[in-house]
Amino acid sequence: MRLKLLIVDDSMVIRNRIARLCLDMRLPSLEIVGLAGDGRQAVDLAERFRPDLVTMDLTMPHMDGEACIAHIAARLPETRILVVSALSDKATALRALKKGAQGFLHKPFSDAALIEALLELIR
Amino acid sequence: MQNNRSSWLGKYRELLAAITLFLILDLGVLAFNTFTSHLIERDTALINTAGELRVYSQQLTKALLTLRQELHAGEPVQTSLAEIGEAHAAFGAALAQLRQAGQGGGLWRTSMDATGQERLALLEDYWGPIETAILPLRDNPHPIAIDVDSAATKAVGRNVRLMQLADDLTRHLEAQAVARAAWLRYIQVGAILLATLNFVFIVFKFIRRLLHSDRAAEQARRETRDILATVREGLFLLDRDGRIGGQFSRSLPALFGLPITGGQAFAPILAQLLEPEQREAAQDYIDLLFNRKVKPALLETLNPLREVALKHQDERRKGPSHLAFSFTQVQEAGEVSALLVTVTDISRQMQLAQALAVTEARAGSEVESLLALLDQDPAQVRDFLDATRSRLDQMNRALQDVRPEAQAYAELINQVFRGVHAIKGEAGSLGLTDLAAQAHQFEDVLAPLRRRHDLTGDDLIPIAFQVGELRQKLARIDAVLTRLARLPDKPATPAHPLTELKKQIEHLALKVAEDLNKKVRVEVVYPSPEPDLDANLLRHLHTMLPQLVRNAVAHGIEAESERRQAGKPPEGTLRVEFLPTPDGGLSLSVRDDGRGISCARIRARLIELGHSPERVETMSEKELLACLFMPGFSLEATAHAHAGRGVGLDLVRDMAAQAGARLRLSTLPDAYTQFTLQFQPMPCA
Repeated sequence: MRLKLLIVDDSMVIRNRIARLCLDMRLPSLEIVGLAGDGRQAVDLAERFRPDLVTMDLTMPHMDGEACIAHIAARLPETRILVVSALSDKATALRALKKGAQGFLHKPFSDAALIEALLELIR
Repeated sequence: MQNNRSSWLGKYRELLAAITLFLILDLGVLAFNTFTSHLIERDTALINTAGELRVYSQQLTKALLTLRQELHAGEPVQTSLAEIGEAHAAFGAALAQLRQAGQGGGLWRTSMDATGQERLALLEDYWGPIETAILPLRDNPHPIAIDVDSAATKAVGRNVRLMQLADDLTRHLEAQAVARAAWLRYIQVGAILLATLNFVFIVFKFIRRLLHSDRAAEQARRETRDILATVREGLFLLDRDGRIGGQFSRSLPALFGLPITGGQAFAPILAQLLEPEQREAAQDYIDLLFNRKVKPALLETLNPLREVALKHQDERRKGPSHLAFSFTQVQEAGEVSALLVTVTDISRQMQLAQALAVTEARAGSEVESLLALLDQDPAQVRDFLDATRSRLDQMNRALQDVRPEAQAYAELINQVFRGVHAIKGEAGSLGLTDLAAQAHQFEDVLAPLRRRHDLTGDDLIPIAFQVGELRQKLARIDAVLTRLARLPDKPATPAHPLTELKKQIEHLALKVAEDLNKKVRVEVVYPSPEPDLDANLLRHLHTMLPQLVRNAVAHGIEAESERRQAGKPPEGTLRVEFLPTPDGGLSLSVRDDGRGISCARIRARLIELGHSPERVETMSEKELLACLFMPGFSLEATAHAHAGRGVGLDLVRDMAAQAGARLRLSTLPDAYTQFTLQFQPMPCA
């Protein structure tokens, strides 16, 4: 069964980078079901495609990442969320995890770090 | 689990074996009892049977005599015949029973032993003739008298002996039975004794084991208590409800600076220790530790309490300034049931780390300062050092001479503050960042004192200390400068020495003006291309020029307001001109458009310094101006950063003499002052 991945980030560069990286990982079990540029879009796409994995930015227009995580975690408890954020303080990471995320990755990140974080989430 | 069971079995194996043995012994005694009572019953029956022989013999004899009598009297004989038949049959049956009892063996044998059988055989011998005589009477309803007489005679004749024999047998059987019963009783008592011993063994063993495990439990408790009492770290278990466990290390209250009781909620303690944001992060972290969804490895990196500065202490809470918390998940049946929290006082480490950072920064700035020295004009730095030293001397004197009253202390502190501030500014402008930082630190010491009105002598102690610190820094810079000066090599002459000099002049003039709250425009004029200048000449220039420039800005150029009143532009002009002379020498002029030098002021200052007014009045203008070059003479009554120490013009005069230069001074009150140095051509140039 292919795992469905939703990429959420307000930066197109980051969205594309994550997407390309996931495609280059040659993980046949991963299928990108959507790219969201803001929180509201992320929630819409999540409800429509019910992804297994989400990479989530925190500072975004319309609906911030934390609210987004809380929403997705409540509606889709099986979905695993990896926060990818430039906010580097521990309190932010802890808040996101408490809202329902399972992983945290600081921006800027290396390709290896993102792959490791995603694999860790799948395990 | 398997292990548990086998160790449990191992632990109680002896006890189980003892109890089993006890039960077996008990059952054995019970079985033996049953068996024994059966044997005794049999023996009793046998004794009874032997006893009955006597009765049957008697009955038989009596019935035979009655029959003989009835026959003679011609009376009916049926009843007697029947009695004879019964007694005969009963005797026979009893004999058969006794005979059979003698045949058993082993445990089942009866009390009919060999002696008994002998006696029985004797009895049967005696019985034999009687039985033979009776046989014709049996089953014969009309017995003949002769048979009856014979049977009766035999029965009467043998009856007594027969009864004796039966008695003997009975007594023998009784004795045998009693002996056997005694033997059985011994066995029974022995078995019961064994069972009792076994029981005592079990009880002893059980009690010993209980005592042992009690002791072990007590030992474990004591060890736990000792560990918790001795360990320097704070240790406690935090349950899912966020409560502190009943057992916690004795150091915990001291680490938190708060009284702690078992079962107390942890959140309010955190609230007292941490700032709100930290507390919130800590609470989130603890919640996540109980949540199995987030990987422990990730959580490990997010511990917000790994090194945490505590809220400022007050009267209610005294304790360390920094703590480190570490959390270990305690798992039970796949769930996190509690967290083992370890709290360590890291105040000392943090202080050391901070001190190290400060030292490193200081070392860095010291190196920076020393490097900055290389870029500076040594004369200028020396000048600064001299000025600073004399400032510090002044501070020391003021500290010693201060009147012991709050007002005087306050004035002194203000005065010191101004001085330190000036040192800071000058040091900064010379790139001596280390010294500037030290002065800044001094200001930090002074700042709170300036706001107070209740100063005492004790408040001055840190000031004296800080003065000492600054002095040490000065000494280091001085030492470095001296070493630099001793370097044997000729100082490298910059490619464009006058351009360099120009920069320094501008820098110094602007700085002095800024310090004295004046405005000045600096013009430095020199020919282009630069003339070749002798290294010695350059050194002289470097020493003398700063003094002249400083003098011009400090004494010559007026404050902005004064200039406005005099109808001058608010900004003063300082013009420094280098002019090669046709004979290969150099002329240097330093001119300011300030207040000029008033002879009246010189006169007044001389009288102030104790010269006789008469003599002063008769002095010519030239003589008066010459006084300006006297060592220790200054027009300023009090010294400030850039003037008033009486060092400066005398130095210039000496240097000029050394360099073989002519020094001239021309001035016009309220218009200008100009110093001119006329350097002769150098012989080597």
